[in-house]
Amino acid sequence: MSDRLPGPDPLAMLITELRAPVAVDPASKCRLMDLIREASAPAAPPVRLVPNRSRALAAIRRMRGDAPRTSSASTLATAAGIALVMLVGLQDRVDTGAVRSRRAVVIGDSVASVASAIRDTLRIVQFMLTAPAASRVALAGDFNGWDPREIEMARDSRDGRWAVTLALAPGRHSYAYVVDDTQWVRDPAGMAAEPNDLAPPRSVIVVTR
Amino acid sequence: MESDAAVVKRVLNGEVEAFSILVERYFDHYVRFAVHLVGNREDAEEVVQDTFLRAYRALGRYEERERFGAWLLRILVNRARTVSAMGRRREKLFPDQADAVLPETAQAHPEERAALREEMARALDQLGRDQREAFLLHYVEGLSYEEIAAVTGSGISALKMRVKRSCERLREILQGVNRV
Repeated sequence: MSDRLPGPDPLAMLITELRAPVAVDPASKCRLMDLIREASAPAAPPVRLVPNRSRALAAIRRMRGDAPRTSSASTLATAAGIALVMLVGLQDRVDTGAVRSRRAVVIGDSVASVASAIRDTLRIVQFMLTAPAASRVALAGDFNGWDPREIEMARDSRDGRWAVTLALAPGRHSYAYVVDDTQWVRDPAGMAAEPNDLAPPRSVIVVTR
Repeated sequence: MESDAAVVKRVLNGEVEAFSILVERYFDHYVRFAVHLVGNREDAEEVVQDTFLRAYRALGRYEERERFGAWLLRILVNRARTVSAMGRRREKLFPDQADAVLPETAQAHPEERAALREEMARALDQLGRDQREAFLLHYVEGLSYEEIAAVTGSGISALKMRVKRSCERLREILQGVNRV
């Protein structure tokens, strides 16, 4: 900076001062360990639900005892997703460059649910986020153990919209978008989840039967 | 040295005492951070203690691909925000001289040092919560902007702006003090 004073930089001095270690009473750590011993055991790791469409379909096939199916089922689901993206694109062409989205929407029964035995087991849900400046966007949620890399979203180069279609079980699901591997953002158009100290910002979708 | 993830596994397998390894690794360091964040020693220790307790209860949700320290820090930052939102007063940003383990050069002129600490405390206190948080995480804890984004949930460009503005503001305040 042009107006720096001669002598030590006060900001550097402040940072040095802030980095100085602080002596902590060892008794406070002993008290903490006493509380830990009295606390209930840690919760078990979360059970992963069906993470994406292909795995969902594989799970359904296993339930039905089917041999692996041809691409017709997934093709139909993908086509449904693409059609919705195109429809959305026609409805909303405003592009501010900011991260925004449409609410995640349930777009129908799983194509595999035509078998009455498993009807309503899964619903097809499409997640969309407009982030034209992003180079990568993924979806993470309780349905995939919050893995920020597993469910990659596909980009529509025309409008910077990212989308992915999943088969989810009915119920309440928490999710967030992970932009460029690092930035966790809640769905701007979705319902915000209750703040949780243990989790990044996230949204909630309720998938009905 | 046994990795944090290995220690977590031992705790999850029922070795509660192994958690003390993580307490030893992070407690002192995070008390220092919390003191600067919430503004007084008492609240800081409470926040850190609460952070470890919450982390212990939720240990099953910790995923190895994330650094344990960063996961803990995210809990801590959120707890500190809650305490700040309760409107507790910031009292003392820097620990008492007796509490601090100062480098030798810092102990040469204790009176001047105390006055300087006081001014620095005031300067840091004048930053808003978000700016102070970003400044401390970047310059004191040494986190990258990507790591801060994961801890705070804020965007990288917003964080860069906060750090830049906090530096400008602190320089302004501290230089003003030096000129008097």
